[in-house]
Amino acid sequence: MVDDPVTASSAGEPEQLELLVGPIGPATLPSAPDEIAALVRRAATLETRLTTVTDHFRRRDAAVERGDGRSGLHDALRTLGRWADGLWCQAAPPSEAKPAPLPRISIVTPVLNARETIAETIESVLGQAYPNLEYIVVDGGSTDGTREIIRGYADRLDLVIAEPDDGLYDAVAKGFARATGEVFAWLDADDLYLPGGLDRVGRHFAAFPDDRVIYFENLLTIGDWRFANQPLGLVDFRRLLDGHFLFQDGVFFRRIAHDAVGGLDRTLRLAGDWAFWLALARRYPLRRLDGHVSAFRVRSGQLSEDMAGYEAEAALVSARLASGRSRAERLAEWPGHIALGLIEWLESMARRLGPHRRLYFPLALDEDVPGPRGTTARPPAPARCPVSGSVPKRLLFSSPDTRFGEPGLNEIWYHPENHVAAIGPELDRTTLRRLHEWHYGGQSRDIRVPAEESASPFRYYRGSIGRTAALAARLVPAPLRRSLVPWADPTMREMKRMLRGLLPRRTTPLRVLDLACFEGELLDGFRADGWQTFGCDSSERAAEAARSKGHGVWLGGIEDALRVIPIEERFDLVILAQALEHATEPLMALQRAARLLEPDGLILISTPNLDSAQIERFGPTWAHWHPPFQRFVFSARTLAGLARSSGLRLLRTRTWSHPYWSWLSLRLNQLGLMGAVPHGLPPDPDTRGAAETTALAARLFQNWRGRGDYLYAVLKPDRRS
Amino acid sequence: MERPRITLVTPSLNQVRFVERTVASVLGQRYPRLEYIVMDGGSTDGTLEILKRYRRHFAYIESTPDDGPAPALQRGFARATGEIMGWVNSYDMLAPETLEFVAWYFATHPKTDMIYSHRVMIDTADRAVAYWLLPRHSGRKMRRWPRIPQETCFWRRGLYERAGGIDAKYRFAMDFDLFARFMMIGRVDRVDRFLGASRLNPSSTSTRKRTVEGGVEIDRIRAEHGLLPRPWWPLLAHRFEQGMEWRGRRFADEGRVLPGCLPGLGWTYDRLWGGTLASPREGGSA
Repeated sequence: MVDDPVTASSAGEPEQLELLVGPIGPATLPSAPDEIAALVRRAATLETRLTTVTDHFRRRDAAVERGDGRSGLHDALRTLGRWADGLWCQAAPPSEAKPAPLPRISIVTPVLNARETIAETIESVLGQAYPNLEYIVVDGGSTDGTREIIRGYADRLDLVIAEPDDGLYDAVAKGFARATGEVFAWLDADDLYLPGGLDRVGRHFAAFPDDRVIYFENLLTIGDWRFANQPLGLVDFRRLLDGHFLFQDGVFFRRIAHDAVGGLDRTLRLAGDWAFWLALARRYPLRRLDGHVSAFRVRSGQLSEDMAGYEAEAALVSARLASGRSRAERLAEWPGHIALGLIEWLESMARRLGPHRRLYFPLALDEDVPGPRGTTARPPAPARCPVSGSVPKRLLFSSPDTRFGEPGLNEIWYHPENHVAAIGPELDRTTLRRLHEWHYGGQSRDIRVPAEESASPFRYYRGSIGRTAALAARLVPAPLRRSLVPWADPTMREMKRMLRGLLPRRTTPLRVLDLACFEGELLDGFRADGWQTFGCDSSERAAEAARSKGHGVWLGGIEDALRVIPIEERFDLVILAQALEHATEPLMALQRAARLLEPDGLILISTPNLDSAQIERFGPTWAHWHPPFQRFVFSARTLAGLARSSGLRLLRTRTWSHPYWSWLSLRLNQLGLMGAVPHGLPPDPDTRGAAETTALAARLFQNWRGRGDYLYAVLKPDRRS
Repeated sequence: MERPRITLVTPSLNQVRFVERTVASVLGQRYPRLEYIVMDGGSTDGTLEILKRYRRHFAYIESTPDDGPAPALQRGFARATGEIMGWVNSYDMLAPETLEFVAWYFATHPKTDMIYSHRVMIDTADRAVAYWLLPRHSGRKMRRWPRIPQETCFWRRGLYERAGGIDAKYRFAMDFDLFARFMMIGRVDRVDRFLGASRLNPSSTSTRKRTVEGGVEIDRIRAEHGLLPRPWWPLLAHRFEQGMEWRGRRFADEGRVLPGCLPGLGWTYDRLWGGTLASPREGGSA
């Protein structure tokens, strides 16, 4: 009965009784009022009985979990048994290893008068495609039309409880009392789960049967914009007491843990979540996982606005706890607490070396946030990984198209496993080509300074960070600096440098193919060196211009090259200059490009570099973000992954920076713009020096470490045998 | 670089579901000196209509009722003029850039007469279902157990002629017979990559029939080559098979990547080909 969609109002209003009938056909429906009433009574009795039985088993599980009446010897024997099991498992063949089934997850949504957001919340949960999900909505007596919206979803919800309640946590507790899942969480009516979020949670709990509580960081939704929330540290009981918190929408726990600590405190109205985390943390370690699975919406009239009330309740809770804890318990938690501090310190050291936190652009708390433009935000639009096709783990930031003013915001997501940023919402090839033709027809020549009221929250983003490298570079006198960082275009020089010693020896001229050649500027350089030059471009005008210069040019995008180029043509060098990151499916494009190569041919890729040190400094205002036309920002690791999946091998990489782009980043940083890359603006004298300093610092300290703005890579067919 | 001519023969009979992808995977190699011979056994299910579309790419095609694939292959190879030979069944596929690799390998390893590689098993929907990770080549083992992936084999013409070619009397195990004779007179290498994909249960002949009759043929071939069965063979065979299976499974689980394989199990083979198997026009081979 619990699984049936039942809407029942409180017992005091029998005339409002409703029974939604699912699988039973209309032919078997009783019609007489007394028959219906009898049926309802019978259902209620059955449900009471079922609840009694379920409660009994849940209490028993909780008692086992708490270890009521268990001796130390029992624990020791159990540990020994597990250890022996471990030995046995090590010896078992791999064929026996079956993935554990995904646990049932129960989500409860408490709601009271949230007409604007409830539909989106319910959609985000039901759209998870998680195979073993239970979704319960608890309505505390909404009067603004929320009930009607919920009723629209009644056949897809597992349970709807509609009756007056005693605050948010009372509603959640009611939902949990009726839930049958193995993993619990609640999601407020303002918040969302990101696509694929519950799948991550389920997989984690399936793979780590000893984990009881896990938590993620979350996203903030403000109007149309979406930001990464402040990073959460490692949290334990002591830290929670010291005022640390968790983001409620990102916490998941097992039912047995929930029951063992006695569930939520129904008397609290505001700080109930914090009190519950405390109760959980007192018994279990909390495990932090990387990434986001949920988004929190900031809007006026929320419960979270009453911070004073929240703190008052929190003080009450901690006072109650302080008196209830023994001296022994207090002493016993110190070693763990110190270990936690140590781990966090080590982590902060490791962070300086790895990309984990470097690519993290949380909203600074004192920044002006663009005002809410509408109450219903777009659903999150995560973009898949170009190498593995998996859903992203984290959001970097959201950005409008500031170059051409294309409407809508883009979201830049991060995939740690392949170290790549992907831009959502995903576009298909036709749409992307249309946008290209629409906008590149008339090149925009200047930066569009936004009006004051629509200013971006990223103005002077980390702009004031003093950097040792920049300081050191400033010590170099200006004339020397200028000779070290020339403003001339170094593309041709860098390319030749990349290819040195790798090109095949031939008696005939070498053949180069430039995919997305535009008007053939690059090909001109190669022809001057005696190459046979070919190109491919999707724009008819550009292709004609390149043809008129004497290059052999086919018409088509980089994915079409294989189709439009005759089957007998093969090339010694295929160039993908600033092209692969604009493809909707770079893996496919690279796989196809690889089939145009001579057996000893090379592929040369140039692309913006996600490892760039200047991203760290300029954040979202780095000049190489260019959504929506750019679909990805790669790193050397991504290119190696793409190469492996295309039968290629990454032979050589190199990064470099140019003062023009440093200058543009500085300029955009002042304006708070993202993704605007007009070429060929004259640099103004004020920031020119600063740009040179930045570029010089890059040349001295960053480029050779693989952290320049531009990434060049040479790939060749993998001849492993 | 002067490429050697490669001859591929495809025997086909009523494989309308798969034959187009097979042809696309061969022509999609874009190998300039390919000689592609198709021997159809009188298909009646539309296979010929598909083959007709690609006719100008074939060096030779015929469609006559024949007595199994072995005689067809024998006649096909009799017409071959390439320095390197191989055969692709009408339901199997090659990996991209396989022919370039084969040409390069034979050019750089003049002593090698024949190569084969690991194998990807795919189902009827082109999804990878298993990998065979083969150990380094050993003639002693491979002469006894028919585990050389046929679709990944390429050999020099000279070896084929010295060995006397395909024996038309076998219905199922003609590849085992041929390779066993190759191993006795030539040098064989296993290359550490995937050159093709083999389809599981593609034909209407029941698996049981194939196993039983194939088994009889295999025993007969062993006897003809002077390999008398020993009582411990089943034990060794079991160990060998199990090792291959475990290695393949671990390979898939760990997500390791070799040229020509997919990122794991469950992916369609077209992902390796950049979508050009499903739409051969995209690959320029239609």
